[in-house]
Amino acid sequence: MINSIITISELSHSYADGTKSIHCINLQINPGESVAIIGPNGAGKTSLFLCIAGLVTFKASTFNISGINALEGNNKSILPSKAALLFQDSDDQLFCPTVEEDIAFGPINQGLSKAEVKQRVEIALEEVGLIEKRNKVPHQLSGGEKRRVALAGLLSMNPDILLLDEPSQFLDHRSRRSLINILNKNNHTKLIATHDFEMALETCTRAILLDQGKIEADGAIKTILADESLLKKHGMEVPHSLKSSI
Amino acid sequence: MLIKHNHKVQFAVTLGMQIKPLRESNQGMTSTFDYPDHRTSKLKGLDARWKVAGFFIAMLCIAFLKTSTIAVIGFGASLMLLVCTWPDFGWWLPRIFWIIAGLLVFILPTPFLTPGETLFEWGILKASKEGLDTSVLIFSRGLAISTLALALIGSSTIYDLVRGAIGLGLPSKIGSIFWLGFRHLDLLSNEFKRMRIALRARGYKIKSGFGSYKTIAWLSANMLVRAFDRSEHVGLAIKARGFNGVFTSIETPKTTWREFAFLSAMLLLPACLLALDFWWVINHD
Repeated sequence: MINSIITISELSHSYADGTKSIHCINLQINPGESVAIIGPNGAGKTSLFLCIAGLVTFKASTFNISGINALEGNNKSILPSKAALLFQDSDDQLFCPTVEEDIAFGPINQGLSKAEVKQRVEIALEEVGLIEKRNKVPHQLSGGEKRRVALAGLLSMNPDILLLDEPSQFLDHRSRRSLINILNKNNHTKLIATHDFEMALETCTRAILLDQGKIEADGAIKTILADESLLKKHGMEVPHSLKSSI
Repeated sequence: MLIKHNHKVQFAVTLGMQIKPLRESNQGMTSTFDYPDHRTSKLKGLDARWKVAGFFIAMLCIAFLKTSTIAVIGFGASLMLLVCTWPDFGWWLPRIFWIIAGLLVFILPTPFLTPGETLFEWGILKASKEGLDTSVLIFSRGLAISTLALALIGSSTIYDLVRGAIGLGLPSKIGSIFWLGFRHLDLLSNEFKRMRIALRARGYKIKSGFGSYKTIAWLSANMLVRAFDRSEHVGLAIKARGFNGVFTSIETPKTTWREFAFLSAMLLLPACLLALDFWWVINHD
């Protein structure tokens, strides 16, 4: 319990119209863990990420992220630099005129010196393999490159936790493979909301199944994704790689 | 006709759409907005703050000119500046023609609406000498200011110019709104093109009639809703990266003798024009 990087209990979140997206969930994530958050559309995956990143208002009895109790004082505003969120659509995330400026945006807002910002940008660009694209306009890049720039923007903030919302969505095979390789090399604690079970199997060790805002299952990814009746009950299917081994 | 043979182009051709070759700077997949290539501008290396200040002063001086002859000289000087500093004629020349077309709407009726010494008659309409003079003055001033604006736009990215303006005292919030608004023109343009393809794919042809207007109304409403939705996401993305309301850069602005020389020239030349204009008014009235 003490070692967990995320400790959440009785978390609830509702939309502005009163519709509940998360119903009283409890969650514990250990440092360095890679956890797949799976579930049908509207299960509450994105809402959970928005809560962890401190971007929406929520109710909880415990909400500790990377040693910070978000329920105390103004601590919620620190959460974005502890838990960085990769949005579903990279176009939502990229708004600066060059790749370099976009990656520098987060560290600048963290109040780092220019030398530190440049160093962080350099490391992040290298990590995602986009050194040669540093002066390009982000919205003129391909979908895969945009996703990597958006990821570099998070890495440059040096967060403790990466929240990746459908990272492989809209990516072709090559871009998807390159993203998987980047994620596997990365040692951050990762929460990956995805419908791409094959990618989840390659990048995560644990899976949490969400449906209608509740945690329906939590365990080793291979166990959960091989459970045909559980997946069927929640409108999902066993991935092909596990089907053949069943 | 096609410069890249990819599935998007193939799909559009299947739908009977005309695909224009993309500019070199825009060949990167998803961009539809034709951005100026500021790398070709000779003013690209100057600190954006002094560029914004210099051009703004020049535009202000042009706006105060009172005589058509000096305004024509002002336009000539602005055009010279544009030609010398930014040789990307392919970008700015068509825009100058569009500006001329826009200005003609205002200046063509002016000679007939301004009282004064009759220059010529056209049916019941009488054109006055004073009206013609006013037309030339408005036309030259408008063109000169637009030409200077094009030279400024071509000299830096819009982001740098906005940052320069913020550096000169423009409130950061207004600058941020301007920049983000500009950035999303591109996304809205993409959205519009996607919707147009979706309409055509289902056999829609624009024509006069209630059904067509209804479709256009739905399309516009959908675009507004999508724009709102996107603005919400961008707002969250900005918050997620700790934005504190001020856009800052990793580049440190520097003022060197080049900035000083540029600003001096941009102050001196319009000042000369204003002095000449003042002299002309005194000696010819």
